[in-house]
Formats: sequence, C-alpha cells, structure tokens
Amino acid sequence: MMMRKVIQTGFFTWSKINTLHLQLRGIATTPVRYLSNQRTDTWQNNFQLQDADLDLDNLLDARNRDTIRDNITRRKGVGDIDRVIDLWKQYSTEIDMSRKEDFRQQFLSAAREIPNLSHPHSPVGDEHMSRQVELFNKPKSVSWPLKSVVELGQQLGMLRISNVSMTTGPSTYYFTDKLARMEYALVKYSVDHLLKMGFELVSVPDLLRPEIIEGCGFKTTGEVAQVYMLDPSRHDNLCLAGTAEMPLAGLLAGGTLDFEELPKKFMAVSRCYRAETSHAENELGIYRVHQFTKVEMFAVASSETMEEGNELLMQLLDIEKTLFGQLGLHYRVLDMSTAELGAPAHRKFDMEAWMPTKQFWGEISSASNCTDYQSRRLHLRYKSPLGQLKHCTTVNGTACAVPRTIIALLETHQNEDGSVSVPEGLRPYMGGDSVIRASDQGPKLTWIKDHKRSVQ
Amino acid sequence: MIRVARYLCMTSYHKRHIGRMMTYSVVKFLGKHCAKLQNNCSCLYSTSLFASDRDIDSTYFTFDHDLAKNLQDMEKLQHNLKLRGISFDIHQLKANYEELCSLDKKRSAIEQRRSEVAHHIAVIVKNQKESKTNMPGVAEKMKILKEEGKTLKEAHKVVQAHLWEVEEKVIRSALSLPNEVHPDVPEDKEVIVEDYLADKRLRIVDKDHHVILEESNMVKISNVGSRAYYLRGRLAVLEQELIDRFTTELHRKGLTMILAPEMFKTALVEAGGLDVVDPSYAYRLKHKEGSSLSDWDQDHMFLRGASHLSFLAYYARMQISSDSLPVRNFTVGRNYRPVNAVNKTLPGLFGALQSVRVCACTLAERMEECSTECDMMVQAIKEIYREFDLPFRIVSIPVQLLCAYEQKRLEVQIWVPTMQTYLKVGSVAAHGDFHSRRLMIRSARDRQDAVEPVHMVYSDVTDITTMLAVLLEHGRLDKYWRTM
Repeated sequence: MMMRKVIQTGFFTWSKINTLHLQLRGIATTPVRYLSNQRTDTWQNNFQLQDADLDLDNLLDARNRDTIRDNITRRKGVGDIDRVIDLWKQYSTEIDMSRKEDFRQQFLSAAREIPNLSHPHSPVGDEHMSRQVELFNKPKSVSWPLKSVVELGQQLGMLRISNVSMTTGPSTYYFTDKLARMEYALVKYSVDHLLKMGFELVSVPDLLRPEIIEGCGFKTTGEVAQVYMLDPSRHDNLCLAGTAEMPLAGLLAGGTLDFEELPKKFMAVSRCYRAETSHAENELGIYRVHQFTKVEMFAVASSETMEEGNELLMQLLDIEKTLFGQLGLHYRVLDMSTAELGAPAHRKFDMEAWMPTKQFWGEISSASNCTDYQSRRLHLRYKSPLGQLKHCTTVNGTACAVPRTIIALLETHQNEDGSVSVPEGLRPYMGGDSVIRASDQGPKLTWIKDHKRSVQ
Repeated sequence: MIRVARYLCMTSYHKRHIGRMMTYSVVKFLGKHCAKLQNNCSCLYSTSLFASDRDIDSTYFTFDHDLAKNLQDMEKLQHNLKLRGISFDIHQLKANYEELCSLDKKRSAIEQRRSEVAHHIAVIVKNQKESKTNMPGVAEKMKILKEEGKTLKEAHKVVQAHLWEVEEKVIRSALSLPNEVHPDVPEDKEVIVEDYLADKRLRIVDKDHHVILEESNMVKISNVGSRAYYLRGRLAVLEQELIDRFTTELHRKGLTMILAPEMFKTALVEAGGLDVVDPSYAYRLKHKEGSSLSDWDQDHMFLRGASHLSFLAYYARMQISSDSLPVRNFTVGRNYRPVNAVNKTLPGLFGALQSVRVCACTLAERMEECSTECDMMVQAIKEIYREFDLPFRIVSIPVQLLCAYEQKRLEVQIWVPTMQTYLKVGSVAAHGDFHSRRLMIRSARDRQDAVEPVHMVYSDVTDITTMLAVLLEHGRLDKYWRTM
C-alpha cells in the first residue's frame, strides 16, 4: 500500500515532463485534440494521443525499486526497472537535444513495459499456483460415451471446421441453423441481463489505431503480438480489435468524467480477432479460434479509496457467476496467479467450465482490475470531489465468449442420441426450443476432393 | 510497370463494380479508356484462380469456363459486352480457344500413340523373354518403335509447351468475361419497379445528418479508427433489436442461418468478383513479417465480413445433392469496406466503413429458377420493410451499373430526409453460375449423374447501420422491434 500512497501524491507526470522538454527545444506545445470532438471533421483529424501519463514518482523512487523488480519477476518477467531508471538518468543529464529525445523515447518505451502491481492476495507463481476460490454445480454422470463438441456439432449438421483452410484460413468455423441461433441466443441472454444490471450497451468499431490497443496494454508488433494489422502498403495504420475492451477504452480515451457519474458500466457485443494459434489437442476444434463473438463488460471507477476497482471487479464476477450458473454449467472461479496476469491486470479471476468429454477445465471467462494502468496510457480521468483531475480505475470482464460457452453447453447438456438439451435460462432466446436435434432439412454436401481439369 | 498494368487491367475488368459507386458518365469514361488498356494488357492479366501445369504454383480450384457453350452464340456475347461497355476481342478469344482444342486433340493423339508404342515394345520384350530366342526381324521392329517413341516424346514436348501457352491466354481471358445479362435489365437508366409510401417522404428538414447525430447524444464520431463511430444507449439496443427482427423474419420464411468467418483468402475474393489489387475493394491484412508475397498470392487474407463471400466460402468445392436444392441461407454480421469513391462522400453513418449487414443467398439447380427465387426474395424483403412504415422503393439497376458477376440487380432504396434522396439499403441480385464455376460449387442428383455448377441469387437484405440512421432521421427510435 506504500506504493499507492506514492501514486496519490504524484507530481512528476510524463505530460509535464514532455511539455517541459518541448519548451526546452523551443517547440510550442499544441493543445491535444481529444477524441470527444463530435464534429464531422473528427474523421479528417489525425489521430493523436499524448504520451502515457506514467506514474514517474512511483517508478523512479529508489525505495520502490526492489518491490517493482520483485513484481516483474513474479509476473512474466517482462520489463526492466533498472534500465528504466538508468535511461531516466541519461535523459535527465543529456544536454544534446537530439540525444535527449532519443533517450526520452527509449525511456518511455521501457517504462511502458513495466507491468501493473499485483494485488497482495494474488497467488505468487506460475499458472499452477492459481487458487480455486469457488466451485459451482457438479459434473453430470452418464452411462454412455460422451461426444466432443466437434462430434456433436458435425452430427447435428450445424458445425463445420473441416476443409476451411483454402477459403477462410485455419482455425475458422461455421455455425449453421440452431447452433447459429444459439450464438445469438447467448448474446441476447447476456445483453438482457447486463441491461438489467445497469450497463450501457455500446456498438463499437473493430478497426482501431495501434495506440489505443497499446494503451490498453496489448502489444501490436513483435513476435508475441496476437493482433491482426491491415496491410500498411494499402491502408491506414489500423489493427483489428482482439476484444471490445479496446474500443470501449478508446471511447473514453482523453475524456474527463465527473465523480458523480462513476462507476460507469459499459458492455459491447463484438467480433474479436486474434492471430494466436495453437496445436494443443484441447485447443483444436473451436476452443482457440481466430474470430469469435463476445459480450464484453468494461467499467470505470474512481480511485479515491483505491478499493473501488476491487469492488467493481467483484460485481463483474458476480454477474459472470449468475450468467454461467443459469446455463447449468459445472464451473469454478480461480484467483489467478501473478504469472497469469497480463501486464495491465492488478488482479484477475478466471472462470473455468468443466469440459466433460476431454476432461479438462477450459477458460470461458475472466475479469480483471487494471487500476490506473490503462487510464494513464489513454488519459482517462475524472474530476474528484475536491476538483482534482485523477486517473480512473478500469475493470473488464467477459460476459460471454460464444464458442467456448457453446463447447461447455453442448458437451454438458448432450443426450445419448446426440441431441442437446437447451438449458432453461436460454430457452426463451431460442424460440422456446428445449432440445436441439439433427435436422433432415439441411443440404446434403459432399466435399469435392479431386480438381483435375480438362482444358476444354 | 507490370503491376501498374495489372492494376489498370483489373480496373477495367471490374469497372461495373466501380460503376455502382460513380455517375454513369464517369463509368462510361472509365469503361472506354480502361477497355483500351485491357486489350493492350490482356496478356498480363493475373489471377489466383488459375495456374498452368508448367508452373510450380497450384490453385485450390478449377475454373469451369464453359467456353464451348459461351462462344457458340458470338452475337449474344458481343451484345452483352456492348451493353456493359466492355471492349473485348472475343474473336481472338475464339481463335485461341479453337487452337487450344486442336492442340488438346493433337496431344491426346500423341499420348495415345505413345501408349501404343510402349505397349508394342513391352509385348516384344515379354515374348523375347518367354521364347529366349531372337525372332527374325524383331530387332529391326524394336529399333523402329524406339525411334518412333523418341519422336513422339519430342512432339509431345512441343505440343504441350504450345498448349500451356495458349491455355494461359484462353483461361485468363475467359476469367475476365462478365456474366450474362438478364433480358429484364434496363439498358439506359434505372427503372422504378415499385414505390412505397412516396407521399410520406419528409420534404422539409431543417437539420443536416450530422446535427441529428450530434443532438441524439447516441452517436459518437471518433478517430480511433478510420471513419469510426460508436452507437450508444437506445441506438445500440436498437441495433440488436433490428438484427433480431430481420433474422427472425428470415427464419420464419424458411431460410437457414449460417455464421461465417469475416476473413477470406485471395482466390475466394477474386472468385467473388472483387478486385484484389485495388485497395478500395477490400481490406487486406498484413502478412507475416519477413515474407514477401505477390498481390495474387493465395495466402493473403482479406477482411470483408458478412457478404456474398460468406456463402461462397461455405459452399466452395462442395457438391450439393440436387434433392437439397434450392438451399436458402442467410447470415448476419459485421461488414467492412475501405474508403472508396462513394462512401467518402456520404455523411455520417451513411458513409461508415463498418456496418452490420443481413445477407441472404439461394442456390438453385437451374438458371430458370433464379428469376423465381429473385422474385420470392424481393417479396420477402418488401414485407419486412413495410413494417417500418418508411418510404422506400424497388429499383431495377441498368446494365452499365451492374457488377461483372451480376445478371441483374434490384435495389431497395430508402428515403433519407436530410439528403432528400433515396439511398440503397438492400438489394437482390442474380449472380447465376459466375462464382460457382470458379469455386467448384456443383450439384448432382447422384454419383452417376453429371455435375453442374449451381446458380446463385444473392441479397443484401439490409444494412442495419443505414437503417438506424434513417430511423434516427425519422425520429422513430421508440418502437420496440424485438420479436421475443
């Protein structure tokens, strides 16, 4: 908590240093065009985002160095606080303006890599150290051999994952008929619940400037990047959003909220695009795919007591428990270990559903408290009761990631004859259907293997 | 230079598509000039749908060009090209095709003779082994046969090389031929087929579209992306309600939903009739760092979303049992388009590059069924639009503005008060067998039956984003559209 106190008394902010630096160079600082400009010429304006308003008091305080270093070690080891401090020294003492700018860029890049501090209750260690905090429902016991989601979907004639590489690429899939309707049923089911819980629905853009994605703490370049980019030789520099958390954060970027309107809770139904691949057996089929539909929750809170984010995180977790509980799934909640926290997360809970056919726990949802990590990078602030501008706390969670929820639903509620029972909570959204059975109405399709041609 | 030439050539090939977005005079101008270029550049036409057997590259699909039939009625073909404003030397194509057929026959004859010679040699060798003696005259016969074999091998090489060369010309030209034109299609200007609630068109509007968006407090225009926007609150809920309304109605009318990926590979995009070279047609994704691909590489991925490509991808290289036809599907999802000549001039949500689309597709066994299916789809769409109680009309699009893959297109145009004009919100078009011949989408009654390409009717049922903008302009957000 000592670290937090330092944050609150912050004096050095990057924007102040940046302004000072530019003034030293004799360059006039121009006002930043915030994204809230509603005028039509917004589309004509170049996108600009100030450098991250990093908490330099905290980062550069020698008393915090060991804590930050330990935190990095406990997480995935990305980030180097010693280098950050070293670069800062070089930047501060450099007189040559060109070299100073060089150090500034390097410092900024290194400082942005430092992950958020972990919550004191987050288990320390690798993924095996994640702590199960709750377990819901029991696995169903059946006397017949269970089928996988791929077997079920294909027998129902409603899932296609084969022979797709030449048209839509690997790890892509098609839902048809009632499985396609189930996707929309899950979306409506989640949206309805969240509307009742006071969330505002937002329809979001899927193509974003890399700065927004980087500001959320995700990499857009390099080997670890899981972000699709448009071909820069043909189009603007744009990335495909991997989750609606990114555009929702972009919605608020550069803005200032009133203390009274916090916490603010948003949700979005969006397509998520991820370049990640896997050859693990469990992840074949539709478990790890490049494109999928997700209902995402994103909330912002004040940072007055530093507990607002944790409270909001628990609220999101309760919502997820309600949503998955009504679907009759056997699932558990894990308090994720430090190595499993992405760079922005202060604390993260995963929900894992039991996938009975392949006998493993599969992640179907998660919720994270990112404290001020994202809001510092995206300049998301609120006006405190005392009139101070402070950085908001951001919290996000998955209300429904469709393909994985469908895996859990189909495998859990399958019947001996290959049909699937629709859980009661979902029936009103499936036109009252209680069971999904194979349809004899679907077209009879045969894959054409041979494509030799005759010239005539 | 080659790249530029290819680009120009493709521009010519697809000028009907551009035509959708430009004025008729501009299209005519482009048509005239690009056609000249195409004739000059036809040898440079590249494609991801064909690779000669002499190349190390291969394609996933076999183009079923059907030139034997297409070139039978040269007058009809010439008329089609004239109507569409395409300058194309079909006589050269015919001559090349005839040469190809002749070379193919020659090659077959050589192969047949080679096979016979090989058989004779094998028989002689076998007999020699069995009798263990040299029969008189056998050595001489063997010598003659071996000589003939060598000559045939050389002749085959020459004919094969010539055939490949002619084949490339023929297939690449055939790929650039447009679809047939339906006889109902107007030649000069659009024809209003039906006008609904024309008397209810709002004539006086004192605000422009942007002001309405701004005052609604439900649309945020943003530069976090290219021409990005956010819908908030009631408008975002309405988006979901409209998706629900349209999908429920299509489901009730017996169509089956397919949810497909949004990214497509080069060959599919090209077979879908989109220009893979011109960046204004579809977003291309950045390829893995360090690799350099040509524009036609099959591994390129394009982001397009819900469109006719969704159905083509699902049915590509599929044989559909004739008993299952016609199959009627629909899809719903995000649609993405880069900035082009038209959308950059449209205001606000009308010019958005990302929208939600509901699309439908029917695959039929015979061409004649396409007209019936088109009529059924237009009827179904009209019934849905009538519920909104907004002025709309059905318009038949003239031939010059048809895309190369369309035989005819009827557009659903809705009245936009702030623009004081009708704007396209949906369409129904006959695509015939244009795509199925490129992507091997075929039908057959049983295994013995001859396989035939299927015929496609495609419909952009609605653009939900345009509908939201229109409902917003008409102040009609209060009605609850959800069916459940």
